[in-house]
Amino acid sequence: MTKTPKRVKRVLIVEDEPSIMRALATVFVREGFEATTAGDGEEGLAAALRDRPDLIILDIVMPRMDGMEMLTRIRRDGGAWGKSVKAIVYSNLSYNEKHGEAAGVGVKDFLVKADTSLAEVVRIAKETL
Amino acid sequence: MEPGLDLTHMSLAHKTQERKREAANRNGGKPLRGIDAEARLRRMLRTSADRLCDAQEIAHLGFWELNFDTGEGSISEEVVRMLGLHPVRDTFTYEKYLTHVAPNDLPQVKKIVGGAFSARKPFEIEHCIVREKDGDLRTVFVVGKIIKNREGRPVRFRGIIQDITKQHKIREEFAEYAQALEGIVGERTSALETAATILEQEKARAEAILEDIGDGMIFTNKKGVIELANRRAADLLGRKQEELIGHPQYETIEMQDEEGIALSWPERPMFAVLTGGKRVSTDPSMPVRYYVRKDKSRFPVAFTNTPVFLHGELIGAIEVFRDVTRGKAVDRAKSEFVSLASHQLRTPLSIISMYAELLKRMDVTNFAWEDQRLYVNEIGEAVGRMAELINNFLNVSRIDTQTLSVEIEEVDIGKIAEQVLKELAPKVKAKKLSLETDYAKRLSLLSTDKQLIQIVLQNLLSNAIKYTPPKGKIGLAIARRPDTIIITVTDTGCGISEHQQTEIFKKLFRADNVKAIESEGTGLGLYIAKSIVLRLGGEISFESRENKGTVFRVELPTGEKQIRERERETKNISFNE
Repeated sequence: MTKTPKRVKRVLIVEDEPSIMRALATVFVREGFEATTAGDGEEGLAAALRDRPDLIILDIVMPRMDGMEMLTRIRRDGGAWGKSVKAIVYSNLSYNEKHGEAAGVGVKDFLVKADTSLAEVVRIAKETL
Repeated sequence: MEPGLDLTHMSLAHKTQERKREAANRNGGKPLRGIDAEARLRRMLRTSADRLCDAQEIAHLGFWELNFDTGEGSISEEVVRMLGLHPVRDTFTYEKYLTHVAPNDLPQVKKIVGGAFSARKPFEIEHCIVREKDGDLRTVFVVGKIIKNREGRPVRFRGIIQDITKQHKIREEFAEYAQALEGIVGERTSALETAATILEQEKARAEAILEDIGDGMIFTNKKGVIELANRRAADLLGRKQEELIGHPQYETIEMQDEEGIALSWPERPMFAVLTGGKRVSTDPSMPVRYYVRKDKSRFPVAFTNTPVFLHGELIGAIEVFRDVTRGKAVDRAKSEFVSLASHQLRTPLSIISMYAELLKRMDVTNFAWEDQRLYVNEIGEAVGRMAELINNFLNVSRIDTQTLSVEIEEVDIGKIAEQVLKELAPKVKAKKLSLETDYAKRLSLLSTDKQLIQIVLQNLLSNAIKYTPPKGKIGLAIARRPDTIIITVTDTGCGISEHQQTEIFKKLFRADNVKAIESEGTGLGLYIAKSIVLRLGGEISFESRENKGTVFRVELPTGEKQIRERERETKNISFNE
């Protein structure tokens, strides 16, 4: 029986708070992901279209371009990949504030920073993939 | 002509008896056979006369007659009893009658009865008599009627006399009673009048109070009709008092919910009070209610509706209400601030929690010292950020509650500036900014609050660093003038767009271009800086061009005396309106 080596899943972390961005990257790398990071929506959009990751973890409130705008553009400009790429919101905003909008752009899960540990973020990311 | 009475003929029964005796004598003591029918008639007559006699006695009613021509008359047995006469045989005359009249009544009797006799006119009189037998005083009612002969000439008086002593007594008692009653009624009336006066005074006082209280006040009866509304209520509702009083509250004053939908009567608090009999008052858990003015504008209302009972029965309710527009605005500002504050605190809190988690889950066999140091550093920095935020919030709270305490001491502002710059150095370095400072050490002494001036410098300088792109320039200059020290903070940052320049000192305000650079920020820094500068008796101003840079200028008095003076002047200036 031959074992096909599992391809390493790639995650894009879009987060304007550097400390949080680094923490997320660290935990995903520890868990065997390949992680790339972006500090705002504009950077995130460019990185996403360039790298075509398997999963995008995004914040909502960010300078220059917010998370929702970024995801909308990815869906629009990213072709077949853009329409199907899985995205999880990881934000300080409460679920109620932006949930409707997030569902509209195909967000798989809406996680609130204060309520969700890094381990949980990784677990949910794995389940989503 | 003297009237007289033949006592021997005074009674009909007596007369009948006499006739019987006469007839018997005529027949030798035996009744005649031929006159049987007459005898029967006589018996009947006698029976009838006896009955009449009894009736008179029962009714205390006597008959009398007086002949105008002879002046003589007759009286019935009941009259004899009534006057308490001893059996007499003399003729009864008017004169004799007068001897029985109570002395007090004599003139009156003479006038009326004598007058009627002379004029041959009927009369009626009530007077007292003294009974001959026992001297008892009796009241009698006498009526005289004129009897005419066939030719129509008045020939005699015929009348009745009734003993009305009992009735009279009752009447007197009744009069006494009535008088007593009148007295009581009088007393009560005057008591009521006094009470009414007191009530009127109370009412006037209550009305004056009601008119002058700062809140609107409405009294609604149990049918929901407004019976009272003070001036304030009318003013608040943009109506005249007359437009409220006498109208159903529900129809006159519209109450709306937040969405502007009018509440039906059963949904209104007044209805609940009038039906439930319990007080209803606005509290924070209740949805906001609005009253609609006559001009259709509305205001958020706070009210207390209290049922009014009279002898245990609900008669209506009093509503006291006020416009809480201002309070609502303050509430909104406060909750916005609390929301922002908790939001701001979330980020460092999340960072602390994340790095703690990373540390905890580290592979114990892997001694990645460098990583550990990094994580601990992250936690330390986040704690610092949190402390700074909390300090800012506390300062704002102190400013808003006017409890920002100022401790004046001799301060070397150059030293403070150096300390602040030292703290900010890593950020300056990270952005590769060039820093220019221009101040003479030892020349920058002034009397001020060390901690507060430090906060001002921190805020201005950290803004300059934050909003200046990498490789830009920032500068700090301190210059001494005779009475003041001038601090200038310059940057080549994003600047403040012209249309938002009037806003930047307002609490929670963040300029649009700044939000695009950094998503997080409290919008408190400049508000705090300005508040402190004013509190220290100084002034703050700025010049800015978007995308070119900004210069902030703070001028502070150097002397303690000056500070105190200007502090007093500016103490109550509020610039957050």
